[in-house]
Amino acid sequence: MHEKLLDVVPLLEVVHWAAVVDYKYKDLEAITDGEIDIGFVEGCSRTEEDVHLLKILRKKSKALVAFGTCSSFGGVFGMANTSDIENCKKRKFFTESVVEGCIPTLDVPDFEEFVVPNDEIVPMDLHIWGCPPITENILKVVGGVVEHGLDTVVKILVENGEEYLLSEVLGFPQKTQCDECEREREEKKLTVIKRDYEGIQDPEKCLLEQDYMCMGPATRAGCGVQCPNAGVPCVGCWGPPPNVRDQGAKMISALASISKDIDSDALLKMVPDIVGTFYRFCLAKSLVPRRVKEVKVVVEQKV
Amino acid sequence: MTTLRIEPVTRLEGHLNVTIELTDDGKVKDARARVTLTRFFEKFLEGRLMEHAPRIVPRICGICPEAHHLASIKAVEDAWDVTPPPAAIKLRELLLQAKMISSHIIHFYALAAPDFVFGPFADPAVRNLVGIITHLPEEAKRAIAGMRFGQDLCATIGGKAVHPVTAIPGGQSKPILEEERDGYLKRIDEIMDFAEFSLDLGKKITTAWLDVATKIGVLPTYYVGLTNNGVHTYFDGKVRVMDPEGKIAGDYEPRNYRDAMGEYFTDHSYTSHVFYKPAGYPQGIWRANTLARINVVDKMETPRAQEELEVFRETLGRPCHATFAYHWARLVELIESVEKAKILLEDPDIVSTDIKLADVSPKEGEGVGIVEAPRGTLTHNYWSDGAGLIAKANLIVATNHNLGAISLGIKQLAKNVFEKGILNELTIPEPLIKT
Repeated sequence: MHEKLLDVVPLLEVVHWAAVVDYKYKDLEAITDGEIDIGFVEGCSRTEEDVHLLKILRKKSKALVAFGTCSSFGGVFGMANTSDIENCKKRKFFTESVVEGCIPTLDVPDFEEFVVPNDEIVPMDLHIWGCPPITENILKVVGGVVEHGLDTVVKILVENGEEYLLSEVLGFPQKTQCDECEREREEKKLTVIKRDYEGIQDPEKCLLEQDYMCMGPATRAGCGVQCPNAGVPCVGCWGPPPNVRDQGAKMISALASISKDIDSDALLKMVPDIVGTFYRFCLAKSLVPRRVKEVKVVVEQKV
Repeated sequence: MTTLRIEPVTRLEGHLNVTIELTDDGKVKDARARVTLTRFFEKFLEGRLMEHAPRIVPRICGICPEAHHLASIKAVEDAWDVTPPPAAIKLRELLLQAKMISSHIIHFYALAAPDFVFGPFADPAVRNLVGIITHLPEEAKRAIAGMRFGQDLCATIGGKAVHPVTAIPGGQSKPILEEERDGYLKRIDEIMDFAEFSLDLGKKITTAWLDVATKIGVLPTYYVGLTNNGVHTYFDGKVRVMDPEGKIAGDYEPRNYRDAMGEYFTDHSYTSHVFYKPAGYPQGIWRANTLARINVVDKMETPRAQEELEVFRETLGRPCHATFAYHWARLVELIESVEKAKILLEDPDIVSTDIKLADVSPKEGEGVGIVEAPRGTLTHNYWSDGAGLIAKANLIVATNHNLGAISLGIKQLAKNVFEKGILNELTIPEPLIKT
């Protein structure tokens, strides 16, 4: 936030921020319930300690904000949900460079079996998306609360919902990345999907129409189209557009509608990693958010 | 028995808790530094496309995503035998220098300075960045401008201010424009002035705190850092190891990192202790980060930084084991990063558009990428299959190099405080600002 910090910080009374201020967990736990005006939660809940702190902060805060994509959707860590936790531990604590490995258990919090989005553990009042969120959007939220007062903002949230507050009061765009992208589009159909390192991209033209796998059609706007502007495809770090639950399904459906003369199966074969391509940030929030251990298929046979 | 818990350790990027156990007669039974989080990058990188790794791994660290982005792309290109055009390599090096400028300034002013400005016993409500901004607005403004310079340059080269995206196998996805370059060159002398101001301040603080610095946290260990034939570098070279007596124990090619680095897991921390493998554990516990780099190098790369390395060594010796000297070492490095950024910005190649090979192909093989992150040596090691998917990944990040020594340091400090009552014997300077 740089020099904006100089304007914002004196307006705030910081009661817990481990990276900046020396208050401990016990200080946070000693705060009266509901006494914190706004709590910001970053990161996903990977351990019991994370879940505990999330629940404490919920109790202490009038409004709780999921800060960033990890907090809103689980983030890249959600991709660990394709393995069970025992396999995660086996890899982590016994790699090629480990001389003496063990699975630590003394005085360390246990792991959650899977990454579950924070708002499925406690109710969240607001989400600020992005990996990471950009300064402008943090200021929109903090500034909006300072300008309208917390009570008004909470009232709008309760009466009109989060999308209304974000778009009508705080000025967040309710579009996709493509709506804000300035690269030229010619409605060219896809015949092949290229890997990011293949060839040299034309900085003027739509990346998808140059056959690069760009997640723009399935990603919420608001970051300033940073990645396509830097010459690389959008990877979806802002999560799905409004009213879409499953970002990957949205992208696969977008691909189907712009690909020419090839069926979706053939197209998907050109994407060797479905999870890392379509669900890199939002797997934990998708329709199939984790490894399915047992699949029971019941077939009804008509005689 | 009494158990003291510091939960969490604050003004630190990450999750660290400390437990100290005291017997009834006041002896330190045990002291443990516990990292309470890991997120299994090594597992969920499996099955990803190799070229996606540099765009996933920056999330390991919010402070040094640039270092992860670059160690990662080096590992990918090493596995695939790809050498990007020279201008792309210069852009990447400038990206890392830009990060060092911003990170070193943040560390000194936001994480460390509150202890010196307000004193270690000040109210936690004041002893922090917010206190610095409130009580020293002019210095805070200059620090934020310096940090901003580094972050802006990171964004210009990396495409985003945090979690860069532009390094792709075979080069960079975006050049920097001449007018962008000119803008940074216009600001750089001011940043150099600020770096010199910070170095002076760092020296004054070290002098004022010399009694503390020489009595607390003096910890003879091995040291590890990247050097280019002995010359200080963040970006490319061999891994140099120095023993506690100051002898160079070895210079290792990145590909042979496992000959030098061993990992040891304790039962109480999710982060391993990395140590010098030939010396064994715990004898081979080493440290990385600023002081380690300043200890292992024969010389700095740029002239002003070299002068300051000499002053540092005349005052504190080589190797210097005083943990407190990390601050001073950091500011010597800050001088070098600003000098080096200027040299790179003045290089005509830096605005070249010949920065990406058109023809890149995956191949089966193992690749290793090592750079220096602000907090120490950073290693990414990937195994690619023939189609360019990650079969396996191994990462050794900066914190792990330091955690063994942090644990030793905490135990040593606990003994000094609880058994020897050292706090009563130390000469602690008056706080700059009394609250």
